[in-house]
Amino acid sequence: MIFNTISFAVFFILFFAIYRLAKKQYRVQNFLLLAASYFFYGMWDTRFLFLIILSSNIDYILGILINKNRLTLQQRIKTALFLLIAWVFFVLIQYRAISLSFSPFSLEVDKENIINPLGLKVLLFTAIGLLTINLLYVITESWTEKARKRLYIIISVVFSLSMLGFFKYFNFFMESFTGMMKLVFNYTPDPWTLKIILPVGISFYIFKSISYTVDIYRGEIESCENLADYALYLAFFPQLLAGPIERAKNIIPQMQKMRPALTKDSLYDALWLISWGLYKKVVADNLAVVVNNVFGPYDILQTPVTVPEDGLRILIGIYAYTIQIYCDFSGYTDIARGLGKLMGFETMLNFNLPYVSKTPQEFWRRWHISLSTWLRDYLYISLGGNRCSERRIYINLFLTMLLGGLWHGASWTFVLWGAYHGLLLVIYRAFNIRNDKKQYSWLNGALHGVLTFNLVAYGWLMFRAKNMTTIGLFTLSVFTNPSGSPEAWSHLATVCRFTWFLVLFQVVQYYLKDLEPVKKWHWFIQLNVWLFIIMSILSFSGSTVQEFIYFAF
Amino acid sequence: MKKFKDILKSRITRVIFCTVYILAAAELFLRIFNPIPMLPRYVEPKYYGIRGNIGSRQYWHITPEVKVHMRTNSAGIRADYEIPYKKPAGVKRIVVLGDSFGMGYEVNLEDTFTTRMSENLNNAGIKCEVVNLSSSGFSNAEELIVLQNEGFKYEPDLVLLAWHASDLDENIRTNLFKLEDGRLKRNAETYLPGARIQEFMFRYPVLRFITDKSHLFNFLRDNTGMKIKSLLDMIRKVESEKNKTSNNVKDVEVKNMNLTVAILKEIAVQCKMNNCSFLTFDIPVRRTKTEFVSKFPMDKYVGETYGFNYINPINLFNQHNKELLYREQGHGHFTPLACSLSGKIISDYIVNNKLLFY
Repeated sequence: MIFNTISFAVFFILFFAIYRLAKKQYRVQNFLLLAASYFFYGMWDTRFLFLIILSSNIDYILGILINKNRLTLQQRIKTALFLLIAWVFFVLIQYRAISLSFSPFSLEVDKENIINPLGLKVLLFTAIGLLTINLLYVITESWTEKARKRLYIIISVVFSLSMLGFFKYFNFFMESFTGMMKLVFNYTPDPWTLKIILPVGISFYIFKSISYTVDIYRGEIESCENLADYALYLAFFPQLLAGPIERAKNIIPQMQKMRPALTKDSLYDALWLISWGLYKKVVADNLAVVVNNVFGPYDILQTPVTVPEDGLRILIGIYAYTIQIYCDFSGYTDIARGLGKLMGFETMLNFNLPYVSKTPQEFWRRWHISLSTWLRDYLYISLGGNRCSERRIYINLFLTMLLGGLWHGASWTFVLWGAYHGLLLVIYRAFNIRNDKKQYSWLNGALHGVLTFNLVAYGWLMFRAKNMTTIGLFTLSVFTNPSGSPEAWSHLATVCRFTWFLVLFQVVQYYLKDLEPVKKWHWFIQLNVWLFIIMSILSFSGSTVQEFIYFAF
Repeated sequence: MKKFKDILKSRITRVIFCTVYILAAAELFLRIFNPIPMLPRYVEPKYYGIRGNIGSRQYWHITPEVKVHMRTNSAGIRADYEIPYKKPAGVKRIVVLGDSFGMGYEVNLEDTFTTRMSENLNNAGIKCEVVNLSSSGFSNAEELIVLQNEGFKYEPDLVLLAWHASDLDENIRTNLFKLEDGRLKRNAETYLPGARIQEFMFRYPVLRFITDKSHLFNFLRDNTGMKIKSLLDMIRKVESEKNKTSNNVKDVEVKNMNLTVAILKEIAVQCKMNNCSFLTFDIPVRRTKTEFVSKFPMDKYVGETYGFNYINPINLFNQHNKELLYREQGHGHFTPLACSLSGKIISDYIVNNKLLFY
C-alpha cells in the first residue's frame, strides 16, 4: 500500500475512525496502531513481518538487559509467545494455499502447500537465538555490570547489522568478491549468490532499533518495559517504509500517554502536510518522465556507448532528478508527519529546505536530517568525532559519508556518491569554508548557494546512474558537448511547468523562515494556495501510481 | 437575534462566494495549466438497449492539438449526408463497426481512415459507400448488437470491424453477452452507462453548455468514469476469484479473450448468413512512441477455421515511426497520417482479396 493510492486512503479512513473511537484509551489506540501497522506492511508481504517482529523482540529483551540487567519470567514468556504466534501466522502458514469464499461460505485448503518448508528452520534459528541470549544471561551473572552491558550492546548491534547485511548486501559483496578475484587473479570462482528479496523498509527499522539500544547503553533513555510499545515504535506505519528514522526518545514517550486532543489547528497542520506531500509527489512523478527519458537508455548499457551530443539535455535531466528525489522523499516524509499528527504524534522534521544550503555541511543539516543525525550520533561520534586530530577528523568524515552512501543501496554507485560527499565535507573543512552568516555578503552567499546546489546535483548523477559508465558519459557530455536540442528545450519546459510553484513557495518559506507559513496568511490567499495544490494533485496525477524512490533503500 | 442573523448571512454569503470562486478558479486552473481534451460524446439510449450517437448533431472536439468539427446525420452516423437503408444500384456498401477510433475522433471527417479507404477504393474503380456505425466507447458486444439491429438493414457487402485492445475488457464490462459451456449467450438486456445523466444534462441549455465548454466538468466526468471503471473491474475480479473461475491475472485475460473470440465468431457467422464479407482491422496499441504491438487474440484462427479476414498496420506504422501517428495531447487517437496509412492498407487488402464481391 502506498500513500498516494485510493486503497491507502480507504485503509486510513477506516483505521482513523476506529482509532478516534478509542481516544480515551491510549493503550487500545497503541494496539490498534500496531495491528494497522502490521496489516499495512503485510499487504506487501506477510512473510517479512516476522523479521520486524523478531527484531522488535530481540532488541526489546536486549534493551531491558542493558538497562536493568534483569529479565522477568513474564517478559520472557511474552516475547516467546509473541514470536511463536508471529511464526505460526507469518512464516509457517502459506496463505496462498487457502481459498476462502463468503457467498456461499466455503473454505478450501491445499494441504500439500499449506506448510512453509522453511518454517521449521526459521523456528530453530529463532529458538537458538533466544536460548543463546538466555544462556548468556545466566553465564554472565558473575560479570561486572559494565562488561555485561557491553556484551549485550555488541549482540544487539551485530544482530541488527547481520540482518541488514544478509538481506541487503550479501549478493553485492559476493558479486564484488567474484569480480575482484577475476580482476586480480584472473580466476572466476563459482558464483555463490542467493535469491534474496530485499524486505521493504529494513534499512529504516534496523537503524531505529540500533539507535534504541545504543541510546540505552549510553544512558540517554530508559528501556521500554512494554513490548507492544516498543514493537509499535519499530513498526509505526507512517514511518515504516521510508522513515524518518525516528528516535525512541522522541516517539516512545508519546506512545506511553494520552494523545493530545485533535484541535482545529493541528488538524489544519496535518492536512496541510499531507496535501503538500502529495503535491510534491505529483511534481516528482511528472519530473520522472524527463529523468527516465534522459537516464533510461543508459540503465542497461548496450555496446557501443557514445557520449550524448546534447549536454544541455543531460544537464536538465540531472537537475530534474535533483528536484525529483527531493520532492519524492520529502513528500513522503511530509505525508508521514501529517498522518502522525492526525494520530496525535509529533514526529521529527526530515527536510528543511536543503537546496538553499551554502555549504555541503549545511546541506547535510537540512537533507534527510534523521539519517544525517543518526550517522553523526552513532557512527561519526563512535569513530571519534571531532575530538581527535584534524587528519583523523577527515578520515572520520569520509568514512561516515562512505558508509552513509552504502546504506542507500548495495551498489558501487552509492559508494561513490557517499565518497564524493565525504570528500566535499573534507575539502570544505580543510579550507575552512563554513556557513557563517557574517562570512558572506548577500551576493557571496548566493554564489556559494549556487555552487553547493550544483555540487549536490552532480552527486545525484552518481546516485541515479545505474553504472559507472553513465556517470562518465554524462560528465563528459555536460562539459564537452554543452549544446541544446529540441528535446532539451521540451524537457526544460516540462521542468519549469511542474516546479515553478514549488520553487516560488520554497523561496517564500526561506525568506519568512517558516516552513508552514500558509496558516498565517489572509484567508483568500490561503484559499488560492489550497486550490492550486488540490487541483495540481487531482489533475497532474498519472493514471499509474509510482512508488516512492526511497522504498528501494 | 439580529446579530445572529447577520453572522449567518455573512457566513452564507462567504460560503456561496467561496463555492462559486472555487469552481471558477478550478476551471481557470485547468485552462491555464492543464487543458483538458474536450471530446464530448453525444449519445442516447437506442431501442435495442444500448447507446448510439444522437442524430443530426453538430459539435466541436477541441484538444490542445486539434479542433475537429463533428457532425452526425439523422441516423447518428458521422457523415455529412443522409444514408438510406436501401443500397443504390451499382454501389458496394461497407458497414464500419468500432469505437472512437472507428468513428474518427481527433481527425476531421475527410481525414478519417474510413474516408481514406473509400477514396482509395473509388480511385481503384470500385464504387463504394461507407456506413460508419461506430460510436465512442463501444465494445464488440455492442457492435454485434448494432450490426444485428441496424447494420444489416444497410445491405452491406462488407462489414469492417475496427478492433481495439480495450475491447477485451469492455466486452466483459458490458455484461451483454456471456459464455455458457463455450457458447455465446445474450446476458443483460441493456447497457447504458451514463446515458440517463447525459439525457438530463442535454435537457437544459446551461448544463449542455457546461458539458460542451467546461474543462472542469469534463475533467471530473472523465476521472469519475475512469474510477468507476476500475472499481467495476476490481469487483469483477473479486467475484471471479470467489467463483474460483479465475485465480490469477492470466486466467482473467484468458476469460476476456474467450468472450471476445466468441463475439467475433458470431459476427463472422452472421455476416456469412447475410452474404457479406467480414474484415477485422486491428488497431495497434502504442507501447512507446515508436513501438506498436497487437493484442488481437485470434491470430491462429484468422483466415482458417472461421473465415476471418484480418489485417493490422504494424509493419506500415513501423516504417513511419519517426512521425506522429497517434495524438499526443488528446486521447491518443490516430493522426491524419495514421488514418491515411490505415485507409491504404485496408483498401489494398479489400481489393486484393475481392472482399466486396462475396
